[in-house]
Amino acid sequence: MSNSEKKKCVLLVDDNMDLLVTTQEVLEDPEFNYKVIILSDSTKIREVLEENQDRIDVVVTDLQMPMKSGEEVLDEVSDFDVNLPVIVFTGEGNKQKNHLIAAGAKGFVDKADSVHLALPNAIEIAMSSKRKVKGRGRKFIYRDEKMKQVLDMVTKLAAVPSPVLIEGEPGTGKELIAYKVHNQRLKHLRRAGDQVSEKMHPYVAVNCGALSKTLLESQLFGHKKGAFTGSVADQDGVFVAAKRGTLFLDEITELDLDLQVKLLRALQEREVTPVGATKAIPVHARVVTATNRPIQQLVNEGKFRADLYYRINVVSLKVPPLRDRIGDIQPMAEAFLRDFAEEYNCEPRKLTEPARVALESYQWPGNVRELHNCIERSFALGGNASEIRVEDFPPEISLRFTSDHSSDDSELLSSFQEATQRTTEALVEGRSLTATASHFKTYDELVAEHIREALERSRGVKSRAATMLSIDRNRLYRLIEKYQIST
Amino acid sequence: MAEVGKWENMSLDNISAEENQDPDGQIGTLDSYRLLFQVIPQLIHQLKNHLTVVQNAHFSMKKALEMGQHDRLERSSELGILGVQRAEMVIKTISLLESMDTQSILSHYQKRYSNSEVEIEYPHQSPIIDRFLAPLVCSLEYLRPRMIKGSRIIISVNESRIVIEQHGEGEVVAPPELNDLMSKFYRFIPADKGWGIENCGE
Repeated sequence: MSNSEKKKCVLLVDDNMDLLVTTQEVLEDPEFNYKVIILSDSTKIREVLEENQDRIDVVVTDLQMPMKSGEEVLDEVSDFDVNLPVIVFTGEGNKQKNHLIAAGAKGFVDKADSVHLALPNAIEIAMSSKRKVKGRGRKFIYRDEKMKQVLDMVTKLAAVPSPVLIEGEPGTGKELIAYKVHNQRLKHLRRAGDQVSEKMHPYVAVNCGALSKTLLESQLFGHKKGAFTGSVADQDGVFVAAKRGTLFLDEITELDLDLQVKLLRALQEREVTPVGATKAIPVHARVVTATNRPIQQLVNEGKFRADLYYRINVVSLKVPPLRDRIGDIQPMAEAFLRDFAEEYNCEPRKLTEPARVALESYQWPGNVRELHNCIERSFALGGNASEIRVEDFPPEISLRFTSDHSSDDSELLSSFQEATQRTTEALVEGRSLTATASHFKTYDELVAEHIREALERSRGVKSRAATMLSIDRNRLYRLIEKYQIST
Repeated sequence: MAEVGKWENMSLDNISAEENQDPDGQIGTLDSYRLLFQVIPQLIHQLKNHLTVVQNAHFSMKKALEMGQHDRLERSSELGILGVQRAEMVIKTISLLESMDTQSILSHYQKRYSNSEVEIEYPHQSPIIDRFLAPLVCSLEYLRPRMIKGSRIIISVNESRIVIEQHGEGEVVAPPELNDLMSKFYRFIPADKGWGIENCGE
């Protein structure tokens, strides 16, 4: 590994301090060049993970520790970030190896092996598994009590495979919750001694609003060869593909009434009949559904079948919108900033205090997804390499914040002083006053400026500029025309 | 001292813990070994930790020599020597367990604990304490990583039971859960500052 590359970070957990210190020294040797964080008190694992969010690439833990065992550490890490690989590094021999691998450990190293021979190899293998699944972004960031209550409920649901209905506005992370329901169930089964594998217990997700009725029916229940034009072979549906795992049906309220009947039958009878088939196939997957629409109201209006509603709504989870969990905004924004810094291979940036306040004051109609896009946009367009400032945010956030806070006398005074200073400087230097006379930019000026900057950064490639601005290309063309921006 | 066990003197009749638990609470020699040797996996785990420290120190010393890093060489050799000394203490514990000599074993634990700046007080030459050697060793192994520096463990005899008390700063550690074999012979009774150990046969 060359020194110019970012060092991979290992969190090493063991109650033996000498072992921690010497292993850290081995792994940080230029031959391996890892950055190692050591932790002797395993009860503090959550704190350390939160403090070092996204910095840690792999966790290496002992098993036998007095306060919190390695198995509990494995659980805690998996709860924190299911994609963060854990290697068990133990002196207890291989007796628990299969059990721990089944519980999610990505590697197993016996302390009888030399650290410098065995551990770096295991770390590299485990990290390659992380890279494979990282894109799924299944990480939970929360501090707010409302979200904690939802997640506590998810943990309780692990013991029973009842259907779950997740309700929440768009962008609140309903699929993350669905995946968590799946993951907790698998953990429960493992603890109960069941053989659990990705193959037999997969997580399968379908967006019911994304496909036409015919395609959706085939996707849900499967089809026989020749059932319709183009069906050249038998095909299993997602009910069958989910085996004994979890089937997540997103946007369930978009289902056609005919398909609702078929889905109800599948849930009641625990069997499906593929399109074109005469024989039903038994199914075993747990069904988790989600919607961002007021499902109870749709039932009242006759747009969603009441019997299906009662069948899927055995347990209901209501995910709070981001505006109702303000405490989560800052840690989420900071985590996204770290993600982007890593993705774009540049130094992490910090939120300024006014920027944090601006984010927390905004209503976030698009919830976490909107926050993510906002941070990405600010990261891409922000003028400062070390900070994200209010003016880096989209106008709907920055302008609202500025107007909300401009009534503050001290800020008015300070902006007046700034303007006066700039005017004086301009007069001394003999420059025109037009650019400096008015410090407060209008909405149109700000938007035009952002578009110019996006075009400049994208070197005039409009499709790229549109992506950076989170708008479509046609809208960008209209705005270019409106603000008479030369391209 | 409890009846000193020699493997050659043992009978297979002693193998069943339940059959051998006679009414006055006496435990067969083989069962005593079985109970006592339950801590062996823990000791092997400790041994592996210390040997890992030695191996790591060896690696670092080699690198330090190659790169002319004198501070690193010194630091690594100190840690390596410490690892060897600790491994030696663990091996000695294992060999002492085989002797079943209560006083030697407790005196050895006193030394091991003193490395972590924890004191142990125990009654000398008490015939009762000999009967509790296995749960005592189990308790001391359990407490060792849980005690904080400067604290004290006091082992005392109270009629037909022994009491393990923890003194000093920090929370009092609750007794460990006993496995099936140990719970056939002994009960751990939680107390304010630790726990009492009773023989189930009494």
